[in-house]
Amino acid sequence: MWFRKRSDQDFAEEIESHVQLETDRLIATGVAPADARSAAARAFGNRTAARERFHESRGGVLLEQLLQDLRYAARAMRRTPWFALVATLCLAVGISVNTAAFSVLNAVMFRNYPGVVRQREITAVRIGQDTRWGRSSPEYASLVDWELLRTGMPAFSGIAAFTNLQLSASVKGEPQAVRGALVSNGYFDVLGTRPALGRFMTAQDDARDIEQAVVISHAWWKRTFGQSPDVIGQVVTIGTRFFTIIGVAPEGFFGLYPGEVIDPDLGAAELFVPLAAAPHLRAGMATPESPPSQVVEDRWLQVFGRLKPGATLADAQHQAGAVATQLAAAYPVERKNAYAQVSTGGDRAKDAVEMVSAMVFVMAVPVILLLVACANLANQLLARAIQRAREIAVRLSLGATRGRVVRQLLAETALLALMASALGVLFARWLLDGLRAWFIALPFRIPIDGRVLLFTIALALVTALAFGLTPALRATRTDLIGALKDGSTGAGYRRSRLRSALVVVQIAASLGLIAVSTVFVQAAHRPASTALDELANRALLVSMNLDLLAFDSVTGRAYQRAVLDRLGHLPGVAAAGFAPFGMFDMLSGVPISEPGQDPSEPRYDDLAEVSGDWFDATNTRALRGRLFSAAERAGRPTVAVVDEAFVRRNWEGTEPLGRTLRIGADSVATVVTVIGVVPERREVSFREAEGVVFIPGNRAYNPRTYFYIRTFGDATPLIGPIRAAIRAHDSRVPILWVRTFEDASAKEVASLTMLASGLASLGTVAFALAALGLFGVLSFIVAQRRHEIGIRVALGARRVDVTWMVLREALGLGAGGVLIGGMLAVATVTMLRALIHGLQPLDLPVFGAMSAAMVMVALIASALPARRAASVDPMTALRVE
Amino acid sequence: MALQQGTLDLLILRTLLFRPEHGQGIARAIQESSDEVILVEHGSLYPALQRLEAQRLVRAEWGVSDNQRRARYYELTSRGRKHLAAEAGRWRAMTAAIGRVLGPALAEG
Repeated sequence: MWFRKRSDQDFAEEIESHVQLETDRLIATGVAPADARSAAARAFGNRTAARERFHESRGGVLLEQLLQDLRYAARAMRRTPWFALVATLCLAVGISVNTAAFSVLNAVMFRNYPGVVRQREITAVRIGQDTRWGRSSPEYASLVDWELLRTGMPAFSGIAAFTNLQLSASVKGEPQAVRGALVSNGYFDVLGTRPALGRFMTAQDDARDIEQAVVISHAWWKRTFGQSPDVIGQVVTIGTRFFTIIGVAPEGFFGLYPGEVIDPDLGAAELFVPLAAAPHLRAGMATPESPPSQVVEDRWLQVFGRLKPGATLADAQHQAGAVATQLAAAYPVERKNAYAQVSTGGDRAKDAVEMVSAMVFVMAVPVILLLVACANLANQLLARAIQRAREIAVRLSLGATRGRVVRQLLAETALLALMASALGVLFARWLLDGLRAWFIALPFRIPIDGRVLLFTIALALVTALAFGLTPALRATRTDLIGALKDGSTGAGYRRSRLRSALVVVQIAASLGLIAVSTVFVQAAHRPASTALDELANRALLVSMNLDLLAFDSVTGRAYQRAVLDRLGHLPGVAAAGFAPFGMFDMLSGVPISEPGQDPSEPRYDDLAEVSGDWFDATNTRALRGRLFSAAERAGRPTVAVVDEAFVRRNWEGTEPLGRTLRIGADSVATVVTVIGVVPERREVSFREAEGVVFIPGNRAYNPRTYFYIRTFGDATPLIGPIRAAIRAHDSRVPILWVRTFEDASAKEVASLTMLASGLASLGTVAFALAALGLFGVLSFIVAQRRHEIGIRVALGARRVDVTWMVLREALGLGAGGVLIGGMLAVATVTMLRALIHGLQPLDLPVFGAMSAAMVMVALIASALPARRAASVDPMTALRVE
Repeated sequence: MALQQGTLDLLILRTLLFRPEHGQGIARAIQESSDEVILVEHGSLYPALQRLEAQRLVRAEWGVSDNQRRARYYELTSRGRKHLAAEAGRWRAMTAAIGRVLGPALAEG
């Protein structure tokens, strides 16, 4: 500004000079000096008002008022530090959850993936089919699709294909399982990625020349080679072949595939191998020599391209559609009614949905907590507003406008919200890192950038407005005279429907939360099995995946048998067997029917195919009948053993032995006779199967191999010899891990335990919060009614009656909360049980106890002040204000 | 007779056309030159002056009055001069137009 801001003082002087000049003028016209002075003053009018108007019209006065409001708010907060602390913490927790979820959305939807250039131009292409049952969701591409797409998409400046898979890799020494990707030559080119070191295979490379080249991830370079620049040219054994390292991908790069959200083993790739090497690395792959129908049905490639400048998504869609039509014509059976789908940005929308829904799932509980916290906060604000009715009335009657007072009250909530959002961002950072470490394979450290901060602050302010506005409006809508005359009661004890509703919501939400957390706590702290106790350190589990070497079923089966034989004969080993499932695994449901049942509508039951001395190795003994003989284990399965749960569920009260079961689909069904019953062993092996059928493991080859080894003494010293024995048989096959039963089960339930303890503590916090809030609000409401109670007692009401009247209301609120909370809990638990296999139904005794506790809190909170009010001398109660 | 906001601004600028003046002087001058028809309310005079100052149509400085009183003198800027010329022209055109529409004075009743 070119002119100096004038001070209020300067303006006051100007007014003073005006009055003085006017006085002079009047005196000059003959008025007596004393009269002239007052006449001039009168003519000017309200000087204070003029000064104030000047002050307010000055620029920056809004800011000044805002600062004033904030200062005032800070002072109010210092007066009630506990309220401020609790409210800030509660809101911060709620805000952090939302901020974290938004950060993920932001990182996945709006930012380029690490190393990828202008991702919005990247377009994924998928081929799907219209079937009799509707449109199938688009699938991966086969080699046939890929060849056609490669030449049929002129809208793309470049096109590439990839697939993610686990590989076995070794530099020197033992092979390890590594996440890898098979990528076409143009892969890095199309993404616009620049190597951190060396070079990438490009579209210009001839496939044959670079067949044995490999690009490694930055993380793998760091881990395996200590970031040595000499890495280029080194040789890596992948599967059974040798590959030369030609380049290192930039830090954080994972291509377009951020990994499976829930399974970190399927995370970002570490080795990028040319597509040409696929037949050596992918198990059971259709080769060019296979029948064409088999090649077209082997769908494993994800295809994407970069849109040329000027080309639109519609162009790409049109061209991909033409390819689909071409396919449908060439393969009328396999590709009948083929259609194409293109989506921009790779598949990031899908990724975002997956990640956010996984997070929301994990965060559902904190969100309920936020609800409780906000209800609590709103209630406290309402109560405070009533308490401050007199103060507000004084302000209003001294001439403060209602808008100004509302603004002041809102400033308090806004300050709370801003403090909470600062804290919330911090919590969100921890939450994101924590989630990444524990639950969700977020592919990279999610940044909290300007957009996220903006979101957080907006969220905080909206929260403040939403939960502060009603109390503020209510507080300023008072009958001034009444409020000034008799303080607290004048502001009106009104039977606030809003407040009652908030109390009910609070009880309901916290009870719902308690119910959900008890369900998880129960799932995590199931009574330890005696079998697990027995075996804890006296049995080992070895995990392997034979697909890493692309074994066919004959080689794979031979390998399993040979290794089992070696392990069984190791000194110190009591029994050894293997199965395609590990500790606390989920079994796959298989159609199983009995003779006389309609085989087209089979039950799906859990099938466990066990080989070798699996029963002996897991200390599983027959309760009735017998287990598999050596002969039965060797041939095709003809017999089965079922567990008690299966008997209880299907054959309650009848003889299970000798019954026959048809296992598998109709045409290839295996018919077996039940020869034995074993106890439920879900604690050892299965995550809450509802009955298991065991058969000898010769039905089908499964490359997932878990060796179960029971030892005579402490199993730990045997880990070395066991590894050596496996390597001695075939040194190329990587051992994923060797763990004692105790470690293996702890590892498997660790995340569940952590989830449960997290939920339990959140549930406790919510419960405490709700109880605290309930107590505060109810006792406050009742205290507000002292006056009314005094009148009632003065008019002859008995103290008991008055107390009962108050209690009845509290009971009503409590019952409402429990009812809604109960419905909420049942609904949530039902939904969770549908999503997570193995959760128990709602624990009614625990829920009942919690509900009773909540109602007790309500009663005590009302009874104490009610009794106090009723026992005061009515005259005192009436006069006290 | 009370004044509309824009009108007061115009009158103030006109008053300042030939010499700088302080607030009280401006109010007096308007009152006198309108034959005491227009009474300038002080409640609106100072906000108007402030507004004009903010719009850089006038600038102000403390000075000493004829009778040796300290007073804040307002002075027309070149911008204010141009503004006055334009606005006065518009005002005259407008009042003339309104006058034509209303026609000769009618006897009310």
